[in-house]
Amino acid sequence: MNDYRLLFLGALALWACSCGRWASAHDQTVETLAIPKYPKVSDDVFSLSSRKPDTTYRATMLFIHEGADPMLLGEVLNASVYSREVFANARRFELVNDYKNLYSDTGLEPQTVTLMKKDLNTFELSQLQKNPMTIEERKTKIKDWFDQKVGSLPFDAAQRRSFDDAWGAYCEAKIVELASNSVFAASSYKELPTPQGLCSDYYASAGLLAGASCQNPKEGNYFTCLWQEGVGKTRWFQASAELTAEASSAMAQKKSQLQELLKVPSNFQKVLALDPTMVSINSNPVKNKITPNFFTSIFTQQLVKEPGNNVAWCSVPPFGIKDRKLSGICTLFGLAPLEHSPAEWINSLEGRSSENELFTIPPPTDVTLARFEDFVRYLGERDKGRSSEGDRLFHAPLQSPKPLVAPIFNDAGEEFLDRLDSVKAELSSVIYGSLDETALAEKDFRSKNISYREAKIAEMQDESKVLEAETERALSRGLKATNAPGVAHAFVEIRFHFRQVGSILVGEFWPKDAEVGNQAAGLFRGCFDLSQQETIDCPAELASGDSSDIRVFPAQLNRDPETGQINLAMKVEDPDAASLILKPRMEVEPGETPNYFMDLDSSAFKGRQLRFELFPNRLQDSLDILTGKVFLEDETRAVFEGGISGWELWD
Amino acid sequence: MLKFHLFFFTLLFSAEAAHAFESTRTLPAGVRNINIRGLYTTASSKTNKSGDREPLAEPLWRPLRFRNVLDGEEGLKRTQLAAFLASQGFGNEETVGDFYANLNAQINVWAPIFAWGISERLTLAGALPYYSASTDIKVGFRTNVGADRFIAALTTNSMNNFQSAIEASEKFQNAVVRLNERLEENNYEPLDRWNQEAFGDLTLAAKYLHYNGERVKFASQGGIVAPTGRVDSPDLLTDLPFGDGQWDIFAALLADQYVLPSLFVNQFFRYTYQAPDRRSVRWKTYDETVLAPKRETDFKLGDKIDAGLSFQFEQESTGITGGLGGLYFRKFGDRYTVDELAIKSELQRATDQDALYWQARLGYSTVAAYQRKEFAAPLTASLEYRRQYASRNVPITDFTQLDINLFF
Repeated sequence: MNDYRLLFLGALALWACSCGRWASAHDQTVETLAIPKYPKVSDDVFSLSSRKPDTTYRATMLFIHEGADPMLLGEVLNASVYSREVFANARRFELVNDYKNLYSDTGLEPQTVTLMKKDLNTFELSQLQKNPMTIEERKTKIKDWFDQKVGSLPFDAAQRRSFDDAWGAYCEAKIVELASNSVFAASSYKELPTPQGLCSDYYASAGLLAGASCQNPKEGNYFTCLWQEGVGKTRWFQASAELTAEASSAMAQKKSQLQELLKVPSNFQKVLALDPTMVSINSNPVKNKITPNFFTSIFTQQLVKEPGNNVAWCSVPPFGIKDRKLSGICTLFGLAPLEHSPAEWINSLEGRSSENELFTIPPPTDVTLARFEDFVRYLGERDKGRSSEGDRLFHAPLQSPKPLVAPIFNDAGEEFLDRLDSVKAELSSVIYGSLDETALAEKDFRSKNISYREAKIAEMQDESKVLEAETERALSRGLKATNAPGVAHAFVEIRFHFRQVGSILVGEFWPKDAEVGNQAAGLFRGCFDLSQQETIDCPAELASGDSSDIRVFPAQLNRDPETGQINLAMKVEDPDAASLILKPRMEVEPGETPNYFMDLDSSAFKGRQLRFELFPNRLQDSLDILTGKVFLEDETRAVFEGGISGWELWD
Repeated sequence: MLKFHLFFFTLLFSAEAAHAFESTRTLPAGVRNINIRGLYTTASSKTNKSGDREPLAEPLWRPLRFRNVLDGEEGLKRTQLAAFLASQGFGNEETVGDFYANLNAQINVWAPIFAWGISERLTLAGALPYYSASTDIKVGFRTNVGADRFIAALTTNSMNNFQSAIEASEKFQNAVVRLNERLEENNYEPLDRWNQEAFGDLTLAAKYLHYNGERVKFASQGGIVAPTGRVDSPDLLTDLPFGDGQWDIFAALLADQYVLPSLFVNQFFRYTYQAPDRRSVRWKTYDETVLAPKRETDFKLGDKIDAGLSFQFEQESTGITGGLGGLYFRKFGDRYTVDELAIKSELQRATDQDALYWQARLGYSTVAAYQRKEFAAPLTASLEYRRQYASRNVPITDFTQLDINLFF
């Protein structure tokens, strides 16, 4: 038995040494990043007693399709973020630069620059008058300058011949333009006013404006001279061997008509001068057309190209042409059988039209330098009947109670304006004379000031256009992304308007489609007492400010002071009145931008709760935004849900 | 993965497991022997397929990927999260953090082995070990730069999704709790302390002495292992099995060569065939351990080879015994009948194992003293130390074992 006891004791010892020991593992740590905090936005519409007590948010509401492809939905998300960023860029640009007030087309800076340019012109002219240059001096100098300029153009012999032909047509067209100009018809001159100062050689060589009627006419009236010796001898009244027999006959008829008109030139002159004793205007639509440019445009444009208009114009009585012979003036010019009108030649040689250029002059390689056409334009353009710089410099009015002003070329286009300084600089000593040193320094200073401001305006406007294009692209991107098949049930534009009335925060929501004009026809409104931090029924006096044709539906507004979350919930009883209705998708070609849409009809909304969970924030310290979620809920669950992306509207 | 290592962990100490100090010796006819074997050990590390040491809990050191985060969401919220990840260029396989764990296992074995000399050359034996085992696991979690980027992307002013960022950050902080919740949702037990006591597999064996020369002796051994022990639960990630759940048949050849009357060299080779069987298994993959359904699965554990060489010393005059030896162990890879390659690969991963041990023993025998009538009972007691020299896919478990033998 001792043996067994020994064995038992041994076994017991083995057992005892191994019992009561349990495995024990070392504690492991949990190390994670810090929990982020909600952003604190101060002084927005949700802050009590904010300096910004009223904000309207432009927003989009997206109801996500349950089976949406995450990749496609990801693009929607990217587009949404991108939109907020580019609008923040635009808002910051507006705030930092005060763009609308300063640099937009109607802003202060462009107006200032216009005034500065006028001032500079006035200053320059007044300074130049201290050392006046006579018209004869100008004529001599401009003739030399022109010869030298044309000689420097890179023409071979054939090109030079073509240029001379074109230049002749241009100079003749300028005769028609001046002769039909109402200002000219009403003016008297000490000597023959040249239609274009650069054309004097051509007129001399072509024998134009050289007949007896051009030699010291009575009372400085060069009307007959210009028509008889000018217009009547232009190519638009000359038969030539190049014309067909029919065209030659028409030419002869025109010339005959003109001679008939000039038998009593005074009446013709009075009509062109818009003399009220000759022109009675009763019809408003026609009256609006009667400007100093009226006849010029008719004669130079040659309405023959639009026979219907021509006939119509001639048959309209309001012009009250008493001399029946004058009734033919439209057909006189309208029957011109030549291929190109005077206006086309003027536009081409003055570089005023990029289309149908009748003659092309190679521009200088440096694009900042003035082109030949720029000089011609600078001296020759009679924009909308106004006098040209050439008229101001080369004409000698008999009586000039109101001196002609230098044109400012407002409608000439940026490219021409960019080269204008180059034109003036080159012509300065030719036609203006010289400024003394002090005046020159001031002129230079003013010019630089104007140039700097113009450059700044251009920079700002370019930047504004870039930002505007970017916002358009962002919106387009969002529309394309959300319109992809299977992504969303709805993507509609909505508005939130929050305002503080005392300590009450008023929140309003409406779909953009509910707007009639600039205001919502139906909206949901909820109120929250910011001082008591509780949802309240909106005070009755709030409704007093509502237009009678607005329908207001109740909503519950709440704001969590810790997270900043805004909750706006509303029971949709009348979705039609709130414009929560079907909005068919736009069918577009690939690449085109579709529109907002709502696949859900009003029955999807009726009787259900529409609830927004919104989180405010501010981008780039400039743009207040609202993002969050939207739920369309019945009593037990969210039937549809989606996202909200919004940012404040600004002027 | 974790389970196979722990499974091996218990088999190391099972009654039929080889140790270096084998011999051709059989019991005299009519003599019986009861051997009480006891050992205690712990483990917290293992070797990988390259033989490098790594924590036992390494299989739980898994990254948390965006894919896992997505799996935790459903419905439109999942769609929106997927859309956000896509829009920000996050890949589903990118990680936001890593789970860390420390796992320690402890095992006590108390194994009575009964042997009976049927004849001078044939001895039969049976053994039924009794296990007392426990494990403890502690899990940690650390977010990484992926989580930083994720939260940063949500909290840009233009994205303005601080609500989701805060929600996600809180989930990261509760990642361990959420992991256990996910385990429970998938019918796992949460990762926690575990312990159990139970019998292991029953081993029945016979040894026959074929040649009993003066200097050389040869014997063979054969037997079966009956699946009487508890198998691992598919719902517990850290439990220890006390048996492998199917029948084994083993056979061994042994040879002793006496260098001196009291010193011999033993060599043995043993092959164990593990019969195929079927049981409930989690069909997990390398990337997904939690969302793994349980399936009844046909399997065949890899057969095993044990081979040993030892020098053993026994001095009858003093009763002192001792030895030095080496042991080679090899288990071939398991095979699971699963069509899906990712699951099959994971189930069979790291099941091909081998290890090399050296062992030392010191003991005392009263048999000679008993025969000289100098001691009351014929018994031996020995203390054995085993140390792992090299291994692949095997827990590192050095241990000391105490054996008490009584002959009667």
